[in-house]
Parts: sequence; structure tokens; C-alpha cells
Amino acid sequence: MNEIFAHAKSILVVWVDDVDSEILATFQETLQNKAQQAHIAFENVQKLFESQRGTSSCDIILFDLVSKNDAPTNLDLLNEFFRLLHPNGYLITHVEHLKQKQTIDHFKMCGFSSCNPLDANSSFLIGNKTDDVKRHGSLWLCQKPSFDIGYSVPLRKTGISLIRQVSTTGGAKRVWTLEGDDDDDDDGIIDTDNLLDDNDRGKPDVKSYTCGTTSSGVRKACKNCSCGLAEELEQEEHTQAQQNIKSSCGNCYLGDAFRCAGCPSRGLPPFKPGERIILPTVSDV
Amino acid sequence: MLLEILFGSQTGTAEDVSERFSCMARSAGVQCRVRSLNSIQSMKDLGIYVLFIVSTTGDGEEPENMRQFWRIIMKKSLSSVPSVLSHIHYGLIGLGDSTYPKFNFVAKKLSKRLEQLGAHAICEKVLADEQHPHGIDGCIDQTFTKVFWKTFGDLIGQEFIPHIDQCLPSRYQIEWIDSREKDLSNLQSSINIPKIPTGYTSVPLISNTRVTALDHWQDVRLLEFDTNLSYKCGDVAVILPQCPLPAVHLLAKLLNVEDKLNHQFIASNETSFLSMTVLELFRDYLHITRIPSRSFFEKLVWFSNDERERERLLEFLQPESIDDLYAYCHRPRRTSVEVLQDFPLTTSSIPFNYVFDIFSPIRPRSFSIASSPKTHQSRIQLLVAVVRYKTIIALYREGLCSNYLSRLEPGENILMRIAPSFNLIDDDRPALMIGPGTGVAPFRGWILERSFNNQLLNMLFFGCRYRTKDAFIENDLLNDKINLIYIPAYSRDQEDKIYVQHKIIEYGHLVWEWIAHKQARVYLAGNAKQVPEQIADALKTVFIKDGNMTNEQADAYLREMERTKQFQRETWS
Repeated sequence: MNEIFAHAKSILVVWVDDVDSEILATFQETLQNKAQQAHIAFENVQKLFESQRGTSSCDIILFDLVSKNDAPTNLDLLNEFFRLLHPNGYLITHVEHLKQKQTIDHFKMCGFSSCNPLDANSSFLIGNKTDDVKRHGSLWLCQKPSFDIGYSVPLRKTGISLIRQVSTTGGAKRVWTLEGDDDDDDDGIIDTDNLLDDNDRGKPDVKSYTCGTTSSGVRKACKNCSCGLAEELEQEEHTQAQQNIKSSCGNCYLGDAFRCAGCPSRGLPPFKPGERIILPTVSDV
Repeated sequence: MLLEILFGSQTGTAEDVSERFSCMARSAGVQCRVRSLNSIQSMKDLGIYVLFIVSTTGDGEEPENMRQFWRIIMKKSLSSVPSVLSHIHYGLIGLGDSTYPKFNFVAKKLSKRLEQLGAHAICEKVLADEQHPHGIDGCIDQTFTKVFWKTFGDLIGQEFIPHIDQCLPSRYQIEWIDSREKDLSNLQSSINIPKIPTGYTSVPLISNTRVTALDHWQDVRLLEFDTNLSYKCGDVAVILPQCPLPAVHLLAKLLNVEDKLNHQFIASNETSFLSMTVLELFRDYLHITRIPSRSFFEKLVWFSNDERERERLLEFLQPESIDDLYAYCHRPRRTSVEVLQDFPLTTSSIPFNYVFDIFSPIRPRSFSIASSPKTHQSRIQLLVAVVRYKTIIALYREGLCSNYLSRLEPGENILMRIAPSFNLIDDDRPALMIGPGTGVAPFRGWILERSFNNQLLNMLFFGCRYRTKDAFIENDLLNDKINLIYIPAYSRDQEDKIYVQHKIIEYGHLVWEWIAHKQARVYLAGNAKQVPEQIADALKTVFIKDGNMTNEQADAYLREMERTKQFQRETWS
């Protein structure tokens, strides 16, 4: 924890409601001690979206640590924090235990890849919280992923709109900006799934296939049958074959291409007239 | 005027269809060129008249030999030039299997894209379906073939009448190497040196062990090879199988070349050159036990001089009798050699060089590596389910590669190369793995490796039929030294079928904890048919129940997991 602050160059403290300017000043001092290299900025959450701060401009964002109670987060807010953070940057906020599950999910949905509760050593951050609040919640540290799996890859259209749909606050300003298209990139192909509409996703009705002749919905085993259907069908065929003993066409000695359906030699290779081949039907391999 | 026939083919089916249309074209006097789509370097290479023949493979993906083309035609920058392909007139044949969720997605996407870019369709595309009673060819001939040739003909101002019994020139010329003419020692050495295709290594087998119970109908083998080929967990071993010797000898007999089995020949044409013995040709190079396509029968007509055989062949090829052809050949999975056996007089008239026209080359097969280079030094292990089943034909139907592997004895060599496949990310995040059946193969090695590295958090959902018969993973992974939370689903050990997806939901609280609070990475390996959908549904159920989400939120969450690679899957068809 100390290391994170020691190395930070830019910290944004986002505060909620009316907070005494004295308290803010004290908090700033404490912070500056821990983060000697950092420039520390303060912003009220109501003004945050209007301010349109620069993308990837903060190393650490502290949300609502200064007030006594815990303000809930929402997806729009988290998305904005995500945008503002550098890759590998950190978001720290205090989360009520009751809201923990949902909040962590929101962190994930917005792309924070590493979310962990913090231990008591970070208590300098929540000095202003009431004891009750501290008891019923925990400090959480979330990290924005690094370059290659995170934000810098242009998001697909579908990805953005899905997150927006789940947003709980209407009328929020656009929080995502695509940082230019990577047209000259090797990876610049369209999302081919967008080429398909609902009709395309449907499958043909197999029963509607006309075949002209006598095919009758035969149960067919797959080429690499691994469920046992092939074995079942084998048994059926075997019993059927045993029941056909009379030849009706006299072409038994020719191959299956010339034999009739009831031929007792069906399944055997051609042989010389008069001769019979006994083939092992059950191989001992 | 040139008709470009361009295919994207994973297992050779699309290539077959291309070959068939090429024969139709040539027999009607149309010049054409058949190439894989990856031969296209830019949109300019496409020409004016194009027939696209594209399969969909895996989980709605494009075949490897059109991947490069896909990146070119789907490039974002092309979208801003909407009439870039307006000079092109094309036909489109899609090949797929409607039992898979993403049926013919590649053809559908290509069709939309071509439309977007201004290309003109010669006629309505066909989305052929393996599930059609007459298979792919049946589908194509029913709705596409005639219309395509008619409309194409109208477009050019020519009448195209394909003649199916016109014998076309053979792909290769054959020259026999007479051992008396050449230096004997040279010849000896060239016969003795095994021909190893580029990229492959000859690798010896150490052991071949059955890991399912003897009284269980499925035969699964653990094969161990001795090699220093470098690999990582998640890679596949790509193997070139051989055809079984009885089929090789039978074919040689039918073609009257039994006495030439060990003779060397050179096959050549304008662009390529091959040299091997007849034995090697039938065993290592040509897939002689493949189930023949329609064009196989069409080519037999070229050579049939016996009245009865010729009549039967022509009958089979009539549109009205297509069901007979399928009942004879495709449904019982009759091999090419077996068909030739039924038409002995025709077969004995086939000139030797035409074997290259009626058979296609053996294609390699991939198997996920089930070992880890860290825990199995100089070894590669594979888990292989042997495909063997009965149809009305007396002899068992056998998968080419799985049976080739099952017959191997220790000391025998096979041809293998390594290829990347599943991206198993090696970091400290917990791994939640879902691997029913032989899908568990890549996880086997990886769990051993992670235990070796003391990466403590590993969870595996494994599914099989009976605990005592095919839970083959348990011997390897259930002991004190392995860090693993193991959750099995034995589907037939009780009255209700229990599969991995049921177990995922049953242990939802644990799954949720791992995914949401421990940032576990989730990996799924299995058959593309139903497994991915069922697992996705199970995970979403967990998000809803244990993560308190709505349907939409669960959907978004899973999609986000895929986008950030927190959820990855490797599925095969």
C-alpha cells in the first residue's frame, strides 16, 4: 500500500456531498505525506462528468473516503473512474458489506481486473469514517488492467452498449470515447458477428428436406460416434440381417452394389458364384 | 474467360466439391482454376467470375486455408469502399452441419460481406447440410448446380452442358523408375530413407495402453512417444496416419499392380513432382479408405466398359436414384476401396496415373497433448478415443487415425509435428477447467505442471459414463501430490443422466467465488456440437443464482469474460 502511494504521480480524490474544507485540507496533508511525488486533485462527484478530465490521467483514484458514510457507486461512475485511470492504476473505495457482492461485480463489469480488500494498515485513508461504518464495510483496492488486455484496445460496439444498458443513471454524459480506429492495424477487421441477423442464426428444419425417394428419417450415428448410438444401431442391423435368409435376385455373388435389399450376403464383399466367404464380423483386434 | 473456383476446406469436403465443379466446368469446355482461398493475396486476385466453396468448422470458424483471405475481405477499411467488388459475379456454396449451433456461419457471413462490397450473385447461394438425407452433394445438386450453370451460361452468352462421362486428362503423368537403368545403390538408399514431409518429425512410440475398462464399449488409449520436440500445454500433436495394410493390398490387387508394390515411380505435371513406391502411395499418401464423394462415382464412369457395372454406376448417378446411392455408400460408410471391390471390371481398367484423380491425399489429424514438458521430460502423451463401429457392412468401420494409433506397437515410428492450439495462460490466477471425455486431455498435463509449480488453485469438472469403466483421468490426477479440486459427473451411474453442466450448477457457489472473487480463468475443452452451449448456459445460471444477476447481466458478464480471455474454449467438430 505504501509503495503504491510512494510511486504515484497523480492522485484524484473524489468526494461526495458537503464536506468541511478543513477536513479536505487535513486529508490532503496526510495523503501528500504518503505520496510525496504526487500531484493531488480534488473533485466533487457532481462535477466529475462535466469536468471531462483527461483519459488515463490518474495513477490512483480515491472515492468517497473523506465523508463519514459510504456513498454507493454505480456503473456510470465506475466507468468514468476506469477511463480516468492509467493502465495498472488503482481505485480505492470503502464498500458496505451488504453491498459488497454487487459492487465487486460492478468493478468487474467495468473492467477492473484485480479487486482485493485492504487490511488495517490503510486505515489512514478512512480516518473520517464513523466506527459503525468502518465495522460494516471494508476498504477495497481495484486495479485497472495493463495495456494489452484493457482499455487501450478499441472496444467493440456491442461491448459498449451492453454496459450502458445496465447503467442505473439515465442521462449520463457519454463516458466512453473510442480513441480512434485502428484501421492500419493488423487487427482491423470488422466484427463479423454483426453481419448476421436473426434469420441467419436460425437452423434449417431437417424434416423439411425433401429427398424424392424412400429415405425415412433414418437414425444415423455420427462419424465419430462416441455416445453409443452406433453400437445400438449395429445390434438392430444384426438382428435384422439374421432374419433375412432367402435370396430373391440371384445376384448374391456380386457386391452390395448389385444385391437386393433382402440379400443374405448383404454386407459381404463379392465372391465367385458357388463359393461363400466367411468374414469375421467381430474382429479380434 | 476464366472461372475461379476458390475453396476453404478443413477436412477436404469443400475441396472435393471444388474438384467436382471443376470437372463439370472442364467437361463443358469452361476454363477454370481451382485454388484454396489463401492463394488470394488481395482483392485484385479474385478475377471476375468466382465460385466460392466454403465450409464452417469448429465453433463457427473459417477453415485454416481461408483464414488469411478472411482477414483481407473483412478488413475494416474495405467497408468504406462499398463498390470495391462490383465487377465480380460469384456463386457461393456453403458446407455445414445443422446439428452444430453455428450452422454455415462462414458462408452466411461471406455472403453478407460480398453483398456489402457490391459483388453480384450469379444465383441464390446454397447452404448445404450434412444432415440432408443425401448429404452435402445431395443438397447442392437439389438447389444449386443446374441453376448455377444455366445462369452463368446466360451471363456469358454460352450454353454450358457438363458431360459427366467425358474422361478428363489425368492430374499427373507417371514414369516408372526401372531399377536396372538407375544406379542400384542410389535407388536402394532413396527407397530406404523414409520420406518425411516438411515440418514433420519421425517419432518412436514407447507405450500404448488402454485406459478404459475392457468391458466398456469405448476403447481409449494413452500413447507415449519419445521425443525432444518442444511443446507447451495446450498444444496439439498433428499426426499423419497410414492406411491399413489389408486395404492397401486389396487395392493393389484390384488395380493389377500387386507385382509393382515396391516399384518406385515419378508422378509429375507442370507444377509439381512426387516420387515414391506404390506401397507408399497407397499407404502413406492417398486416403484410399475414405468414403467416396459423388465425383468418385462420376469418374468411375469414365473407365467402365462392362455393361452391367456401367449401367449400375449411371443409375446411381441419376438424380431420382440419389437415395439409392446414399443407402449403398454413404449411410453404411462404405470406403472407396470397398466400392472398387464391387466394380472389379471397371477398376481393372483404371490407368494407374488416374489414382491421383480418384483418391485424395491423407490429411493429418490433431490431438491435444495430454502431458507436460515439465513433468514428462522428452515425452509426449496423447489420449485417443478409438473410433470403431458397425454398420450393415460386415467389417467394422474404423476412424483412420485413431485406429492407426491403436495398432501401433512400441518401437514403431510415426510422423508428427506440434502446433499451437489452446491458449492456457501460465500465471498465478486459479484455473477452473471443464473437460468432459477426452476433452480433458490438455488439462491433464497442465494440472500436473501447475502442481509441480505449486500453483495451488486448480478445479476440474470431468464427465464420463461410469466411474469404474471410463474415468480414466482419475488414476493420473487423484493423489496427494496434485493440487486439485476434482468434481466428476458419471452420467450413467444413476438413473438420471448427470453431466458436467449439472455439476457446475450444483457447485455454483464455489464456481462463483472463484470467478468473481479470485479472478479464476475458466477453460472449456470438448466437442463443438452441444457442449459449449450447455456449459455457457450452466455458467449463466450460476451468475444468476449465485451472482444475483438478471438474464441480461449474466449474458453481458459471460461475454465480457470471453472478451478479456477470462473464459476460453477449445472445441472440435
